[in-house]
Amino acid sequence: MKDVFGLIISGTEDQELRDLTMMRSIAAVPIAGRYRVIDFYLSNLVNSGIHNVGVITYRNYHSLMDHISGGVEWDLSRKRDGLFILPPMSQHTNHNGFYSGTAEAINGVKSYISRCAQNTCLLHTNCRTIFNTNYSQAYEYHKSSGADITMMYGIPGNKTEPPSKGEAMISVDESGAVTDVFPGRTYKKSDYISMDTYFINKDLLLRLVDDCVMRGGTDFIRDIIIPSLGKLNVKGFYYTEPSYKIDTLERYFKASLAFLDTGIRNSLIDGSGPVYTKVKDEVPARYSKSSRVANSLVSDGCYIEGSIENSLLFRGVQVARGAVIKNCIIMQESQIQANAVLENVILDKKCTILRGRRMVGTENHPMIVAKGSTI
Amino acid sequence: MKIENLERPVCVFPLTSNIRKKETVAMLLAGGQGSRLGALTAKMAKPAVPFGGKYRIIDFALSNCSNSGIDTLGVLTQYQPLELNSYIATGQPWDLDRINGGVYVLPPYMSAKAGEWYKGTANAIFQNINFIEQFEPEYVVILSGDHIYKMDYSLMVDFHKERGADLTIAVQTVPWEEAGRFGLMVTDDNDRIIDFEEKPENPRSNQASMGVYVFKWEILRSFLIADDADPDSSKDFGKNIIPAILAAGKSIYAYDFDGYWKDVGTVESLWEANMDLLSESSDLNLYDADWHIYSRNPVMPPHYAAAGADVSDSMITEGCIVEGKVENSILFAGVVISQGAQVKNSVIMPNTIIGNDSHVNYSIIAENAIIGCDVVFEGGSPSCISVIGPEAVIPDSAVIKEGARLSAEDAENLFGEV
Repeated sequence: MKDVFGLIISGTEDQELRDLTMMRSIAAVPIAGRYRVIDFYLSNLVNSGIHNVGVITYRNYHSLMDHISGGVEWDLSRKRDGLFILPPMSQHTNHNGFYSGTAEAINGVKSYISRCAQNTCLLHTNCRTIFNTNYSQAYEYHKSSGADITMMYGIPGNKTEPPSKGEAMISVDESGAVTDVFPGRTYKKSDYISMDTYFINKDLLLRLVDDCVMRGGTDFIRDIIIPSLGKLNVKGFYYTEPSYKIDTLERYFKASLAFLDTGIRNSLIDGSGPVYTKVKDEVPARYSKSSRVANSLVSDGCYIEGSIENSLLFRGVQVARGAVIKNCIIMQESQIQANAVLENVILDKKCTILRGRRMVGTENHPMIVAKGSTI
Repeated sequence: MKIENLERPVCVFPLTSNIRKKETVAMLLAGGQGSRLGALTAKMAKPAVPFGGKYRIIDFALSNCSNSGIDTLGVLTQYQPLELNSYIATGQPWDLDRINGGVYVLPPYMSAKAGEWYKGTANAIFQNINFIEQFEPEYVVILSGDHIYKMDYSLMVDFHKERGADLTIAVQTVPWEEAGRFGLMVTDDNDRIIDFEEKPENPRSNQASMGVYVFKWEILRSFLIADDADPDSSKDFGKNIIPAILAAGKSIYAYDFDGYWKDVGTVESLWEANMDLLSESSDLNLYDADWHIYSRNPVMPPHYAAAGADVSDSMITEGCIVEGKVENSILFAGVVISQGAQVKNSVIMPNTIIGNDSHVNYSIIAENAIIGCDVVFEGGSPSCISVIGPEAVIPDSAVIKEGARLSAEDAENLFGEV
């Protein structure tokens, strides 16, 4: 992996997850009780021995910057290589500093790409899959198959609903060559979903992006991958380990609750190496005499006097006496006051549920409460 | 040109990188064995002993320094330093990885003329006079790495400056009946110390020394040098340096500190200090956002409480898996409490596993131990705590006697190899 650098596009227009991405990019969405989505991406790269990582920021990236800052927690604070935060370059963008597509985003960071000492780019065009892997097998495949581009694809564990709008499905022939890439919502030809993860030679990437932008293209899949099928050697690498998509609210909810399964949790949090995240020096979670807890993940800094079941509590959540929480995701520093009842609810950060309030969503349509709200 | 006319340029290329003058330097004594903790300190110095679910004892002194704005400190290690060295490393978790200053681990060393172990607390500082001199400090704060407390040392340094003291000793008022266990300060009406008694039978004061000193550096330096020349001295702050400074008529003041402070020198006091964290009325507030206690965090997921878990009145940290019952206890990172197991009134240190249906009560179980299934801990009380040492393996159905102290070797001798 010495010859590979990582490039992460930390978000695009995530209309279907807008409740959680209104104030942050998808890469900064909290997940699994103490992480942010990008922790999985950064940890996968670092655990694979990749130590040069560029993160292309997109719209509302304060929360992402705040989280990864210098990259110390992922051991990416290096003298040589390390973590590079790549904010939008205005001369390459048309929409007030926002990229209109993934190819345009890459075009904006060409100088970083050409400066990289490594020759192969491991490109993530989105941050909407939770998985824990070591890329060495996929990279071996990329090298030995002589592919120009290798796309990773898989069948996510929570793929029960129809594919979402922005999702790319792919067809692969028996030689492993990618024969078609098509939007998930239009028609169903295969079960395979792109993991938005590609191996591609650096110079080829720069050339393809130049071509694409010159012709007015903006999107990596639509304007680079699809036109290349049949012309370039595009291979698919089938990822068989568990992975979870979080590109819609329902999927986010299901992926989160999947972490309550010990087998899934172990493979996602420690499968190919630990998932690193920002350290907050919280006090261990504290349970009082009246607390009850069953089948739940609870983080440090929580103070629990009420009852929780099938839920994930992020760092610093307070649950007062008599409160009942069932099938919920409660993000950082939220407060649930006495005798409040929550079922199938996602509380974003720093929410307050006042005494005795009752909120009930359904399994398929969890209720969501925006950051900082008081109910 | 003559030699007296030669002048250095303003910017001198430093031999040691980036040493700048510091008004205050702290020296943290962390070399003690803490032999009364038995198996818990067999492989690590007392300051490295885990405390409070995710901390080590030394985290309190390190975090106090960081929060007090003291960014330059030496940590003196001697006994089993490996664990401490790797724990402190660059000092990053405490924000003590600084370009100017930061934390330095200072083990005993060889020099051209001699090389020797630290022979006492004063000798440890004496041997590091050169380290302190590099920073040209006005004041030196001497700390000990084995107390649990939150204290703003900068306020004490301010007090020291205001009084123009040569030495200021932090004191805590202790109950008269316990006073005989401490080094006591007899003061006049202006907080000036007029006499000093080490563990007296008939105490004249109940102001106990906390082992936190602020010295004027030039005074400390001269007394350290004089003390080193005295072959009869035991090279100890309490026994030699402070009495000598007092006898010389220097101005010594007592700085009264009324916050939580606990010496965790014995198994019972260590257990008690842990349990204080579970008490609603405890003075030790770890939730103070302005005074975080920092530690090196393990990389672990949130703890998981299974469907059959029963948790009350406890502290549980990341990486734990709880399937059984936990009551009035503290679990460190990565502890597993298996189905049917019951843990009460206990402190379970990192990565220890408690097997199915085992009953643990009034115990401290050290890190990486394995308690088999159906193990029973007999009796116990706050004054009779059993200790299982690091990496000990207790076989299925074993019975642990009340107040037992078992290291890994003891367990193997007692129960045979598992």
